[in-house]
Amino acid sequence: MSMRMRNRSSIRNVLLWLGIYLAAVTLPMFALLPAGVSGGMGFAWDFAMALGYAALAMLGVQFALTARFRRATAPFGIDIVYYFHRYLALLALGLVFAHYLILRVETPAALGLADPRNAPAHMSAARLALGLFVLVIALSLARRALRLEYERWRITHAALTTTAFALALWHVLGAGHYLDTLWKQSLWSAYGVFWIGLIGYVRLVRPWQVSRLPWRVVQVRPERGTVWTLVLEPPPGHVLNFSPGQFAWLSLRASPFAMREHPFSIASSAEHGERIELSIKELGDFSSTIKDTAVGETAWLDAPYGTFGIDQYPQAPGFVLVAGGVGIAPMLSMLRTLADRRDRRPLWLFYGNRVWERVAFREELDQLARHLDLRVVHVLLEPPPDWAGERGYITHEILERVLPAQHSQFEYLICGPTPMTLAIERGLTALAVPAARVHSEIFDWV
Amino acid sequence: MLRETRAQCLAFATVVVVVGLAALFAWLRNPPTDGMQARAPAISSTAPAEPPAPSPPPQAAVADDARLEAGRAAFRRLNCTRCHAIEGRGNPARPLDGVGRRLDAAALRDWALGAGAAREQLSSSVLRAKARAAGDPDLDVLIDYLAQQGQTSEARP
Repeated sequence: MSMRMRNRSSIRNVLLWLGIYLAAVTLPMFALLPAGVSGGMGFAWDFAMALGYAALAMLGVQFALTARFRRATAPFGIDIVYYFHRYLALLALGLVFAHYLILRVETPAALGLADPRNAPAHMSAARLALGLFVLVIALSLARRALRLEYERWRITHAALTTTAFALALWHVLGAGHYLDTLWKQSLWSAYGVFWIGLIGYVRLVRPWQVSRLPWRVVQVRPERGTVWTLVLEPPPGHVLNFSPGQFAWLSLRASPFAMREHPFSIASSAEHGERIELSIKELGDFSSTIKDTAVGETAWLDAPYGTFGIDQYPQAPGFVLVAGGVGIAPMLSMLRTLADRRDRRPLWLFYGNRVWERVAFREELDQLARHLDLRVVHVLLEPPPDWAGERGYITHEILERVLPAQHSQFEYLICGPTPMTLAIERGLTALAVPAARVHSEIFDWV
Repeated sequence: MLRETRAQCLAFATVVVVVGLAALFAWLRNPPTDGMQARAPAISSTAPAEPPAPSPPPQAAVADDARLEAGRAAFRRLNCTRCHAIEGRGNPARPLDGVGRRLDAAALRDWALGAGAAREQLSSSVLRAKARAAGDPDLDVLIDYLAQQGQTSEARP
């Protein structure tokens, strides 16, 4: 398959899944069109109702977006899907407010009394749901500022969203506008129950599948720069088939049902799925507890995920990898895999760090350079006095100085802190590298 | 283009399409011409089989204004306006303007209380709400008031 065809088929995939999204959100609404008890009530009224129905459907699909369906996330990359989830939450809330405000202005009588003692229960349910949605979004956006622990936030998030969604569904079925026939009521009840069932699948069935394959910690190895490598083995007879650059959801010291899994890039070679390594930098919270893991402990893995990596571009004439700090982990997996495959394509690794003594895996990178057609370019922010190499941040001047003239043919893979990724993407545009050849993975999307 | 920006654009584009489709929905339900007339047959199609507009008893046509006013008050007091509107007051989702032309007094009573043939067509929560009107002293004036809808608008000064 040629590059061009790959790109075209992936665009087709993107459009296909966007189409599925729009259909999932709007078809149940259009199913209400066949006239029933209430005919046209005026444009504003029907528009407000349609916005309400669409918003409920969008909030339902929110559960599917983060359900880690490989086929649906593959064309986009999981980080995009999570951002999509985040922005759609805000926009769907906007639709709910529009639904409410149009009615407030146009037909205030339809809203009835706000006092829950006098209001119909389904109207109070709507007000409560709206409040909960606002709370959910505020908590999600301010999670870091509030120093809310990731695991606690996730459980709260799941509980609040499920409750709010059920209340909103109650509101729709209770208000019952357009739901004047049994089949329309059944359709919307089934639609709501489907999304709630999906939560059950994600929180119960999927963890159950993960729990049937306990992995074992066989080594916990310190690396330079407070990075810890966790070496894991599956039960006998199993291997993990993954492509280099993909990541795994790891649960340690907690059951897969506890919603305490964390995403980490796989750092080991994809040619050795019988023994995988996760290299994790201490960044506070869970990542700082890796070093306390004991050999022999059980680990749970939900893997592989992600669309970042060299295997997406099998026809590439060469690869340029740009890593910042622990962004080296997926790059290491790619280089180790290429070495195992005896790949002869030209490779460059630009690797940015603060201090030379804390450059994780620098000895192994030297070794890999001997087995591969690889040039490692270290870029240090605080180089030692006798440093002859590159210094500062990785810039397009450095890339231009090192890369050959035909550099626009290569595929570029970037992994590191967001400001670095942004700067490199801008720099590559300046170097006339087509945007379709630049691939990045964002670390902190959760 | 950074991936976060890409996701942002994707989300905005999606919501623009969703809002557009919601507007299309509203437009399809409100065709530019005779939106009001489309409603009448739709209502009678779901109402229980009824003879076409039984002519109202003559005494209803001459109901005095005080009785009508009491019915209007009962319509509000019994919270009919939560779900229904008459003359633009109340919940416009299910207007009852002209209901007296479509249903006779017995059918109106069934619908008001969730009894008889109407019972089959109503959800349990609606039935509970309607049951509160049973035995209310103003029930008769309410039914009269409803029976007047669509009857007297032209006759009255």
